[in-house]
Amino acid sequence: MLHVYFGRDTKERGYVFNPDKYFDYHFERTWFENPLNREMVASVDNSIVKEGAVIDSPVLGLISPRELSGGVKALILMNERRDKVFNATACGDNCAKWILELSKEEDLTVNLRHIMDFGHGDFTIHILNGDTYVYNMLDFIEAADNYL
Amino acid sequence: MKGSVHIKVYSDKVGYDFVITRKITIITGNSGTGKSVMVQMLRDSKDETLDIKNESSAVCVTVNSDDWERELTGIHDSVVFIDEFTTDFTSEKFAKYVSGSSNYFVLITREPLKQLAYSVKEVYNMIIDQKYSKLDRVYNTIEKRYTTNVEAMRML
Repeated sequence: MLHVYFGRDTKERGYVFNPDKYFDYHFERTWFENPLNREMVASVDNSIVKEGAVIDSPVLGLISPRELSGGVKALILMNERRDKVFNATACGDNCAKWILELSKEEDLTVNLRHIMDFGHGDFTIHILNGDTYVYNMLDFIEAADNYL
Repeated sequence: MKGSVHIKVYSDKVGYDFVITRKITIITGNSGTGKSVMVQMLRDSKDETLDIKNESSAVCVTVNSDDWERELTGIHDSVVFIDEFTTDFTSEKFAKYVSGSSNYFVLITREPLKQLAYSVKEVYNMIIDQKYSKLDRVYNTIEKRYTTNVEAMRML
């Protein structure tokens, strides 16, 4: 299940404020052997993971993982470092479906400092601030409005 | 500074071309659209040996650390670009500085900045401009985030 904490007290709660920089210091080559991570790189950055951790970007050419977008870096961290809570405001709306996907099999907790668009479908998200549950985007917006 | 400013910066591979019209412009949008790369390119364009062309109609400045006060000392009538997470532009102190500054500000963020007085009309998504799609170089531009008029969305 996806657990969301709304708020700007990211650092005070020990959550990772800047996933982009955290990724640069902590990423591991083996993360790019994970098919789900490779799929997220393809979906969000339109780039292909080649040999090892070399990535082929249609715009930038061959790049290192450090040059991936902040959004896909955050997604990979959410998948690989479940012991941490990351600031999901680093992610654009094109990451929302992947955040839901990452929370299907295992619990995932993220911090949001803005209202992410999770689309028109039904979902279940646990709002940590009020220990409540929301099941669609309208409810999610109403919940976010209480805390942001 | 008053009026519109044309921002144009490009290398062999990627470029950015758009117009800003107000003191505060917010750029947001999907991940992977090159928002952070734009700020890096504007910063790196100061080094002429890198062959990054900056043909903007005003001086462009980037804030590269959390010490925005020091970096912006003596900066006037320029366009200041700040990427998300670089510094805390949610503070009242920053808002007060912006209010009294002669600079324009382009802020890359998804967070609502309640303490800054900006129009929702100046919130833009970064997009890849299809009119340049036949060129080798990928050009990015911005489109208004909050509008229902498709024609009005085209900036250039």
